[in-house]
Amino acid sequence: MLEQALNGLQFGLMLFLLASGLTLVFGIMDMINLAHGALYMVGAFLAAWLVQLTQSFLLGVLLAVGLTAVVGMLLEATLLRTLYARDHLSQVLATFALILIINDSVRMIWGSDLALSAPQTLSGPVQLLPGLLYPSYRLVIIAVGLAIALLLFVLVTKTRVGAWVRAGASNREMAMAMGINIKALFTGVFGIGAALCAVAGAMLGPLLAVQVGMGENILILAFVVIVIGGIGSVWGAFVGAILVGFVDTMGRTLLPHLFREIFSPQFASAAGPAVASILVYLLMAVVLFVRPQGLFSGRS
Amino acid sequence: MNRETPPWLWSLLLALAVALPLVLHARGQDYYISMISRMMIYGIAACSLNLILGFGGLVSFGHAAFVGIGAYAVGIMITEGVTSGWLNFAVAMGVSALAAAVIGAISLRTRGVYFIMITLAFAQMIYYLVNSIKAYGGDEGLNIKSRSNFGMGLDLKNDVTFYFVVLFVLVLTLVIISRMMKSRFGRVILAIRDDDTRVDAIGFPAYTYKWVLFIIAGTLGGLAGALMVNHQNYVSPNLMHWTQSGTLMVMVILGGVGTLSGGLWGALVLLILEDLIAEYTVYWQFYIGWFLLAVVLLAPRGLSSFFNRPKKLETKGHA
Amino acid sequence: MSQQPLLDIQDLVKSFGALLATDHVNLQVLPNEIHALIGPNGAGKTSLVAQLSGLLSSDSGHILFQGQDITAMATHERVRLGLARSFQITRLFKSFTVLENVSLAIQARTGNSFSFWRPVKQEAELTDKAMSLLNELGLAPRAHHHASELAHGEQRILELGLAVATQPKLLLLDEPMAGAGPVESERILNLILKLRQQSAILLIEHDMDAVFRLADRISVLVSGALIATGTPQEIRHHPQVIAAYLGEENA
Repeated sequence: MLEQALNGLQFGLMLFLLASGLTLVFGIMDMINLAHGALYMVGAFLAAWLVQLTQSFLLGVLLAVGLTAVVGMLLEATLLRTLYARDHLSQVLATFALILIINDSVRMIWGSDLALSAPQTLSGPVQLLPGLLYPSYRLVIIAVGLAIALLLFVLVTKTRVGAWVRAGASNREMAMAMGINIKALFTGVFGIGAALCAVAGAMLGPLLAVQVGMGENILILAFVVIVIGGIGSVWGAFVGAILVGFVDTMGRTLLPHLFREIFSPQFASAAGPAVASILVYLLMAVVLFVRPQGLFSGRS
Repeated sequence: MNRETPPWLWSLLLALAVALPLVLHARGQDYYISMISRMMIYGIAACSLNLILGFGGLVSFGHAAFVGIGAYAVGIMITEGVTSGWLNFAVAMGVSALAAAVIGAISLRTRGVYFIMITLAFAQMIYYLVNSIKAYGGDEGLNIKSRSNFGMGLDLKNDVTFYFVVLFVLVLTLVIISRMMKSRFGRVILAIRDDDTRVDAIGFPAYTYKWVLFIIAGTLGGLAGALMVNHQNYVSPNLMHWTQSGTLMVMVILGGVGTLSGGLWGALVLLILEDLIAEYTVYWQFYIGWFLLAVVLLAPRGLSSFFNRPKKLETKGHA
Repeated sequence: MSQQPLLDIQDLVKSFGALLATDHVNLQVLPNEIHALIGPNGAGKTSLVAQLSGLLSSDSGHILFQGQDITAMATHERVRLGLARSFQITRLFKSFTVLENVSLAIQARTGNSFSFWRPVKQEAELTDKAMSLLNELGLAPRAHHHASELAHGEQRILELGLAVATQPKLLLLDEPMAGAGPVESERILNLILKLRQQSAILLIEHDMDAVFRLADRISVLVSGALIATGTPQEIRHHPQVIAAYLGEENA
C-alpha cells in the first residue's frame, strides 16, 4: 500500500510538471492550449531518439528538454501569440488543429512509437524499509519532480522574473504599464512550460510507453488538475496534481478491493474499475461545486 | 436574422437528396449511398452541437458523449433482444435527455473556460465508465447483430431505405431548429448569447433557458447516435472520446457557427475532405490540421462574429 | 399621511473582506417619488444597486419590496414583481435591432416564452407595443437599426427603455446619463420626468444639476453608510454632506 502511495506521488509530480506550464499559460495569457500534451509527446520522442543516438540517458534527456523548449518558443512566437486576443473557441480549435499536425509529423519522422528504457544503473530496486522494495528509477522520478517543484517555487516567489510572472497573471495591462516586456515574458514562460512537459515525457517514457497519442490522455488529467487547483496558481497546480495523482493511482487499486468487501463479487468486478476510473472526475465536479474557481485561484 | 437560404434552394437540395440514392443504386454504387448516410448522421450531430455552440454561445466540449449515449442505448437494447425501432429511438433520446439534464444542471453554473473544462470532464467520465463495462464490449466496443425494426415494411438493412430514414430525420432536425430559433424561446436564447445578465434583468431566468436548450441539443445528439449505431452495426467508447467532440466542433466552425445548416455542411466538407486526402496519403490528419488552422486564423469575422468580441467584454470564470 | 414605502432597505450590510461596502444602510423609496442616491466615488452605490437588483448577495439585512421580503430572490423574479434596473455600462443586445431589443423586454412580461414553434414575427401585438414605447423614447426612426449602430447617447436611451419596457413599479437607474452629451442628457432628464408618472425612481447620478432638478428626496452615501436623507434643500445645507461630498465636488 505504501508502494501505491509512492506511485501516486510519482505520477502526481509528473502531472505537476505538465500542469504548472499549462496553468501559467492559462493564467497569464488567458489561452487554452490543447497542444500542451503534444509537447509532452514531442519531448518523449526526442528523448527516445537522442538517448539512442548518444547512448546516454542523461545527455539524451537533457538535449530533448532543451530542444522541446526551443520548439515551444518557436511555436509561441509564430502561431500561438496570434491566439491570445482571440476567443476561447478559436483557441480550442486552433490548438486542436495543432495536435493533428504534430501527431502526424511525429509519425512521419519516427513512426507511431519509439522505445525508451530507463538507464541500466537504475533498473534495480532499492530497499526503503524492511520488506519494502521500490524501483530505483521511480525513486529518481520522485526526486527530480520534487527538485523541479522546489526550483519553480523559488523562481516564482523569490526572483524578479517570478514577480513579473505573478504580476502578469493578475493584471496584464498593469504589468505592461510597469514596463515589463510582456512579449519576451510570454515566450519565456511558454518555453519553460514546454521544457517541463519534456521532462515529464522523457521520465515517464520508460514506464508508460512512448507513442503517438500519449499526449491526449494525460492532457485531460492536466486540465482537471488546474481546474481543481485554480487557474493561474502554481501552488494550486502542485496541490491539485498530488491530489489527482494519489486519488487516481490509489483509487484504481484500493477501490475494487473495497468494493469486493462490501458488495457481491459480480457487482464489484463490474463497478470497481468503472468507479475507479471516474474518481478523478468526480473529485473535480465536487471541487467545482463547492468552490467554482478552484482551490487556490490565482485571479483576484 | 442573417441572410437566409431561400426556400426554392432548399426544395432543390431536397430534390437532389432524394434523387441521389436512386441514381447511385441504379448504377450499382450502393457503397456511396452508405457513405452519404454516414455524413448526414454526422451532420445531424453537428447541427445539434451548433444549437448550443452557435446559437447559445456555449462552448461545450463534451457533446460527443450524448451521441455515444444514444448509440449505446440502442446497442444495448438490441443486444438484449429489444429491436423495436420506436422503442430503441425513444429510449435513446430519453436517456440522452436525462444525461443532458444532469450534466447541464451542473455545468451551466460555471462560465467561460470552466464551462469548457467541466463539459469535457463529464464526457471523459462517461467515456471511462462505458469503457469499463465489460458486459457490453468494454474498450473493444459492441457489435450488434441486427438493426432497429420500425415495422411498416421498412428494412433498415437496405442501404437505400436507411438513407431515406436518415434524410427524414435530418430534414426534421433542420425544421425543428429553424422554427425554434424564430420562436419566442429562440429569441431569448439569441439574447443570452449577447448578454445573459441583461436577459435576467428584463425578467427571464437565463439559466433555465440555457438548461432547456442544452437538453434539446443533447436529445438530438442522442438521436444521431441511435442512427449511428444502426449504420455501423457497431459502437465503441471511442465515439465519446473528447477528440470526437473536437471533431464535431470542427464541423460546426467549418460550416458556420450559429447558422441553421452549418453543422451539415461542415460535416460534409470535413468527411469528404478526410476521405479524399486519405486516398493519397496515410497522413491525412496532417493536412486536415493545416486546413483547420487556416480556417480558424483566416476565417472572416462573419463566420464566427459572435465569438470574436474583444476579451474585455467576455465574462470569465466568475458568476 | 405616511405611505407604505415601495422599497424598504433595512439595515443592509455587505463587506468584501476588510472593505465594508454597505454599512447598515436604511433607505426607503416611496411610491411616485424620484429618490436620488448620491455619493463620492467608492461610496458603495454600485454595490447597493447590485444587491437591490439581485446580482450580489447581502451579508445581512433585508430588502422589502411592496412589503415582501426579496432579499434572497433571483434577479428575474424581482423584475416580475416590478423592480427593474438600467445599467451604468450599457448592456444591450447588440445583434438585435432596436425594435427587437424592446420587443424582447415586452415579451418577458406577456405570455409564456417556452414556446418553440410559433414565429415571434407573427405576434403583431408585441411589435405594436414595442413601437409605441419607441415613440415615447424618441427612438422610432431607429427602430430597424441594430443596437450596435446607435450613437452612445441613443444607446443610453435604449438602455433606459429596456428597463421601462418591463413596466416596473420601481426603476433603478444607475447613472443613466453616464457618457451622454448635453443634448442627450437633457433628453434623458425629460424622459425621467415623464416616467415618474408610471414608476417610482431610485436614481444614482453624479450630475448634480440633474439631481437637484429631478429629485423629490436625496440620500447621501459615504463610505458605505447613509449619512443623510432629505429634500434637496435640506441636503444642500446639510453640514456633513457639504463636508464629505459637495465640498469635494466644488474643489
